[in-house]
Amino acid sequence: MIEFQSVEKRYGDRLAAGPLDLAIPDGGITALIGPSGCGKSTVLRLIVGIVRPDGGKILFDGQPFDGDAENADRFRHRMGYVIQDGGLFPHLTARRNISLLARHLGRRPEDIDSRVEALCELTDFPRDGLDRFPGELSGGQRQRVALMRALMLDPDVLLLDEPLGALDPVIRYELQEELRRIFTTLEKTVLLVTHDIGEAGFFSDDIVLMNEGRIAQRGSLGDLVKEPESDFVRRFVTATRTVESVLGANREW
Amino acid sequence: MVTRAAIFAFLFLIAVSDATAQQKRQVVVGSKAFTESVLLGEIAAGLIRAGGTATNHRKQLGGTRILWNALVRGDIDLYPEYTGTISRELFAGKKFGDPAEMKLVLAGHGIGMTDPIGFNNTYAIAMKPERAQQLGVATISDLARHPSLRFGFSNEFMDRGDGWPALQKAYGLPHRNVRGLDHDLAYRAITGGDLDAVDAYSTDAEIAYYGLRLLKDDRAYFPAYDAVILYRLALEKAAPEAVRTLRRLEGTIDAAAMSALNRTVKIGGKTEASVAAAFLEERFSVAADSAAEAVSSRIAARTAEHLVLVGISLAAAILIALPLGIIAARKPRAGQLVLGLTGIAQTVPGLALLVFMIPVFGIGAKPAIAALFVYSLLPIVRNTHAGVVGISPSLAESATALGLSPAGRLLHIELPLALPSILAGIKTAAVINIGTATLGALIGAGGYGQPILTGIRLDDMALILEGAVPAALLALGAQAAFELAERGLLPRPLRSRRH
Repeated sequence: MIEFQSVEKRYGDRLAAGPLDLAIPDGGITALIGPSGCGKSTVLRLIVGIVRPDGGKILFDGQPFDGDAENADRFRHRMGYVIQDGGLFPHLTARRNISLLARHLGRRPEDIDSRVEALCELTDFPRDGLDRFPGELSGGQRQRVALMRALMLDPDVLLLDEPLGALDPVIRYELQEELRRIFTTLEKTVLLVTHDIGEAGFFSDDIVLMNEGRIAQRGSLGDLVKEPESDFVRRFVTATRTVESVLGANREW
Repeated sequence: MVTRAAIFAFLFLIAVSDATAQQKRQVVVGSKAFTESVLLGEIAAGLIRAGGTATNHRKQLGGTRILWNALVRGDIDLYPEYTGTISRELFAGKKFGDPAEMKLVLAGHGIGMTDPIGFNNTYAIAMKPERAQQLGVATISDLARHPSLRFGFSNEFMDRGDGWPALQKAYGLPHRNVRGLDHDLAYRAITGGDLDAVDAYSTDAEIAYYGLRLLKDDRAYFPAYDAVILYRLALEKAAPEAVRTLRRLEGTIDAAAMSALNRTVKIGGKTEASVAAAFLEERFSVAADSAAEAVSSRIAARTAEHLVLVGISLAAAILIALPLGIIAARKPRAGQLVLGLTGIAQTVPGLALLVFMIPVFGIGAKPAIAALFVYSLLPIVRNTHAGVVGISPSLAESATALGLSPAGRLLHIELPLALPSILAGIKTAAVINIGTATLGALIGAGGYGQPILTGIRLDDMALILEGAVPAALLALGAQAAFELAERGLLPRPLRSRRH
């Protein structure tokens, strides 16, 4: 379980997040959502330890975790992190990107190969793409590689920062389906950042809506729509223009 | 693997350069970078060799300061010098009553001086006779009446204590159009009409050859420049035979004879070695060997020397500059300092940097390697820094979030991504290094600069090309080798798109 206790993060004078109290339960899928700059990505970066909290504590299974700590990498090996553009290393083939950390940690080559094989199966990634460089893959394939890289060491927690943000709508739609299937298969703790309320509701019943660095409301999509706790929540959940709403509005003309 | 190979190559080259330094159980003769000095050096070396002592002549080692420092340090055992230079340049401000007094002061530095060889090669100011006639100039004082005249003086004369600044003061000369240039080029410039007056040594062969007129030193400003040989007093113990032989030169060459010897080399086109051998045979009945080197073996030897200079200095620069560049990228404060310092080192003129290295490393290959090393740092440090800093933040974050150790990040992510920039930096350093290494000849480092230097001195274009062409080819070759290395070392996405 990941737990935030009064965590604060500042960039200069600006309070980017906090004070935040947040618990991410084991084995569930939690969606972090909110407008740009609300601090949702900062929460993820705090968990991986890319940025350090200016106040409060972050606990990982009850133990305090700090990006500066000597054992920081041991914690990181228990998390898989996928960012929006994949963050794939352009000088390494897909296979090398996926297996980089395992090789660096001295895992056995046969184990690495069979794990890569299993991940290709899981993410439906074509085998002949493994020896291509990221620049030679499509956007959707790149995201699959990024996901495989995050899952390589079979981490307890999967952190995804707008994993589908850069994809065109059709591919995005297909990948959403696939991701949900993968999450269900994996039974891992998943924390997903998105700015799309529909996507959040599609993946999870546990939505954390953030605004200006703090939690505005937490609940299922139904809770947020039916019982918004503030004007902000109401405006945020109704701010999406769906095809139906547009067609419906036009018909009344 | 690659780094291990580089380290072995580096150690090997050091061992080779040390081995060459080891085999000097012989009398080392030095000479300055002008023909008369080289000739006297050849004559002295030939005579000592005939007396049964092994010698090694390090020819045309730049100017007075370089030779004097090398002598005091013991890098050379003896070299030809002029008494006027000793009193006005080496011990400027000291008044010497007689030669005995000069010997006493020199002995205080562990240096001995022979009696004069027999000629006075004083400084003089030379003009074309037609021009002097037309302006009515016969003495140096007369020059003051023509402040617009264009002067060209040898670089050493421009700076020396007994050179232009003091001459200008002594005669109250108002001239502003004064430039420093190579002594041998000055003669060509004055006959071509680009200069009105140049400095000359009174035994220069060119004075008679070009029919130049020497202006009368009517205020007796220039002292006597009697040629002598300076030698380390330690030599009297280590090789007494050599010192005895050396003294046989005293009083053997008068001004006319020296001028004739100079002319045979500079205008007759003979090598110093053969002219010296002929002189020794005639005067001392010494059968000296003057086997001329074949052009191909000469070029091979210069190539080997040049490669040692470039190879060691570049390898050492890579070993130091790479970590410096990485540190500079990691710690911005230290980075400013590192980039600033290497930048400043780069602005020091090549020749000055070489001369700075002499007090520490003596003469020869070592100071040249040290100077070239300093020169090679900046391009590599700057490109390594730029390469590492230029890595996109999202990639850097990905590497951290992945849980790679700092060493793993450096090895697998930062260095490979910065490699194109690093290789470009090393390529730049190599090309600069190959060009600058030609200056090393001025401090006895050999290399392609050797034939260039001699060629300029003797106005021999073929000899200049013998150094310049291989140097250019080597630079092009290095460029091509690095482009091949880029293709071999860089993964497909990082290669430049050029074909």
